[in-house]
Amino acid sequence: MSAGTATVFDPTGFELPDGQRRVLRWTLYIGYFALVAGVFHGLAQALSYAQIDILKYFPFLESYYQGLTVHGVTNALILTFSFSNAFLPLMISRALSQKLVSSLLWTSFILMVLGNVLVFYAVTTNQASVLYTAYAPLQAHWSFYVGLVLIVVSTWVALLNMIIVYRRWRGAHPDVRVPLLAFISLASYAMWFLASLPIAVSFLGFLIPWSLGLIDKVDPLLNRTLFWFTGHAIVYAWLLPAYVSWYALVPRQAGGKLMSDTLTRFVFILFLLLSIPTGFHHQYTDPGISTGMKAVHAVLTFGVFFPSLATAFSVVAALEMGGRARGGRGLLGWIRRLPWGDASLTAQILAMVTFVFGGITGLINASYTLNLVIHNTSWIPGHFHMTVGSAVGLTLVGVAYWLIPYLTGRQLWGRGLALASSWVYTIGVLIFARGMSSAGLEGMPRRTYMAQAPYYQSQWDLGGMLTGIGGTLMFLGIIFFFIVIVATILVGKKGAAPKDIPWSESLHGPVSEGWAPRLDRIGVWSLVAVVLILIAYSPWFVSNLPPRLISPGFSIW
Amino acid sequence: MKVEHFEKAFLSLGALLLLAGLGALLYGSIGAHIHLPGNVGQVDPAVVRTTAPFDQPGLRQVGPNEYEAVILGQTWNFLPSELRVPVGADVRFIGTSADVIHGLNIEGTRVNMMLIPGQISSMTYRFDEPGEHLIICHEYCGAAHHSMFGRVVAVNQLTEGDLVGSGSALAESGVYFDSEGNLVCEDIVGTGTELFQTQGCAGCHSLPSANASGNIGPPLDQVAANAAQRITDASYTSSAETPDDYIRESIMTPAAHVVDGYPNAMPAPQSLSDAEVEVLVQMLLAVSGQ
Repeated sequence: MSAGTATVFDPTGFELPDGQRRVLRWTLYIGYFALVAGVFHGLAQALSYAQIDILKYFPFLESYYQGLTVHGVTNALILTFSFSNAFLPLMISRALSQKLVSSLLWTSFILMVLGNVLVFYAVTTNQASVLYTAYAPLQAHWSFYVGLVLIVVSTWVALLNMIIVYRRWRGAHPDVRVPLLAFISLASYAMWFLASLPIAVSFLGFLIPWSLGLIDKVDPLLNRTLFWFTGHAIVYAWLLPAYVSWYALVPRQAGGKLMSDTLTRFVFILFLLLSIPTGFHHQYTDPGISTGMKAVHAVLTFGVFFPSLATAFSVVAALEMGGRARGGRGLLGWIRRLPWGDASLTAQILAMVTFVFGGITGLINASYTLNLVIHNTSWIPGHFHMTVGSAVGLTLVGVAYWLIPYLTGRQLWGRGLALASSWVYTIGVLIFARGMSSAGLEGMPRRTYMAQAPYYQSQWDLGGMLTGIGGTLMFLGIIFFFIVIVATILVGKKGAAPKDIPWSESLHGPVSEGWAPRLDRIGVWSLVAVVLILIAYSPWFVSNLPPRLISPGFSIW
Repeated sequence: MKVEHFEKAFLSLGALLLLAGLGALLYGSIGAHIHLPGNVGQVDPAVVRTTAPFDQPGLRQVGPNEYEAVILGQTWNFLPSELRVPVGADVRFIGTSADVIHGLNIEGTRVNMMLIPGQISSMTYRFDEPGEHLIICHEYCGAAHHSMFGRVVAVNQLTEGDLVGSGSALAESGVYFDSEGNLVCEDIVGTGTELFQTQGCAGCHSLPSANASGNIGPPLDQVAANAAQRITDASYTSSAETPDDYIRESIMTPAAHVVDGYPNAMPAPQSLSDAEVEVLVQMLLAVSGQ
């Protein structure tokens, strides 16, 4: 059984210049460093639910909620967007055999660094303990909002880079369908660009002027609505790069093939269309929004579940093809024959397994009436640690296990420890989520310093304990990951790294007739997405504009 | 080919599953009358404390078997902090926030709504059996978020004092200044301690006599001596000259002097009368040794 990640020989002789590889590498390092920096307080939170208070061992933190802000910002925002800013441009560059635009690559990197510096300043000086959702009228220091804006702008610059590369390629290949890997990478960031506009309006139009004292008051519900206008789609902006890996790279790593080129493109177009007009399902319990609008978003949210169902089928089919090609027999025998010794593949298969539960719990959250039972209880973090916290997180870990060697030219160090990292993390997250979910059903709130809550209930004991045990395992898994990556960068064996990305062939390749080629017109589909967004959101905005500027800022932490 | 066959079957079943789910939602919201909070109305948070019905939070009867329970969320407690409601009646919970966004989840029920400044939230619920339920603030609202909670007690028979305007509200606790400016209060320590607990002080400060163990602000068990000492400190630059003044100033304008090692996180009180502030000051002096 081969343990290394499969690679293809370069069909075009294209290699990304060393200078560009270096920028991509450092962009990734920011993200993976943010991951590790954020899990320390993650451990403190999990133990707090188990009534074990380790906050006193964090002398540089002034409060639990300062640490909770660090956890959310680093793990949900900086990790994911640093990864995407490196991974998606690399994918399009490799898929089209085109160099990236160096000036834009540097601009994106520098904006990401500056954004991080500002956010780091605001959070470490305890001037921004507003959590990553930054709900007004809690008011952070301006550097927090400006820093986050710079991070978002860095993603726009990365998208611009991808578009220019695509157009250059299109100029030289006018009559060919764009390769799948390039298409899905571009579709992912195109969706995110549309999705990011509402939060940009909220930050640039209201929160930044307000934090600078240029305006006195803001409209809390308007800013909250703009946040969730972006906020559900942001989840898909984190998830789609992981899907790029699952669709286009994982089949090769498993020894199989991508099932259908057309279905894959169709899935990404559905995400482009349906990810954004669904935000009210995060606001089912909010006042000031009619139940009819909430119902419309509920239906659309069920719609966006469909492409994920299609993904489940495609990805498992690709794995099965791989397992059977490697000699697997019988209904389930192919599972055993998958290359479980490959740390990169194993992490991503485990990410898919946890995502089954993440998807089911997500459907429950979206269920209009059922949401009343679980809204803002610990059920919610139980759910999203099985989506962003493992479907995305573990995929990013798994991709690192080939991508860091590919970009550094060094062999992965400590394959055993790398394998252990994803197994320990997966077992941890399943125990953690079991605890969070069950205690949440019994009313335990999320985002709460439970170790110090005077109203703590003994019915939460079991859930809290499982949360603590699972969270500790998750923490260990990420520490193992950190050791493997640092050791790979510093002492990994030179020259024994993969020479190319593990991109996959398709069982059913692209077709040139019928309706399928129309899927490629991302610009047109983006316009359709805008129409859907207008239908889903404009009634609310029409009746809530102009803003009711009623709330002064509160910095009470 | 086989795989396309499975693909079609899987996707069709998936679509059916989603449609069945939507059907269940339709049944739940229309057939079983499970309603979400909607667009009920707006209120200006700057004047919410003097705007009906939030000027008098609590339970009132509005029909033969119908009640309204008005709750005001503020940092870091609910007003009122305890509500007694009748079993078997429709209770319409009406809430808003006086400052930042709070959550209101009545544990063990489906009453779960956000309290957003400027917006009025409302949900109706019928308690089928007697019992006590926590009201939990489940949205992060600042330093003492984890100490923000209240209680709903469902009872078979309401008593007179359970309804607004019948003597239970603190506004009618009999604390006032008489025409000569003297504080009138029958039991300063008892009333002050109750205020300390219901106004959210206990969430952040420790005070053994009030059974409070908050650790976000400075402890108050020695506040009389501490106050006397602090006004002589070089770092103290505000204007209080006596311990009374210092404590009063610390309540009314918390940012005037922030004790070393603690965050500048205390909100100024927004629902206390001058007489109630005086009761708190005298209570604190009394229980801390003066």
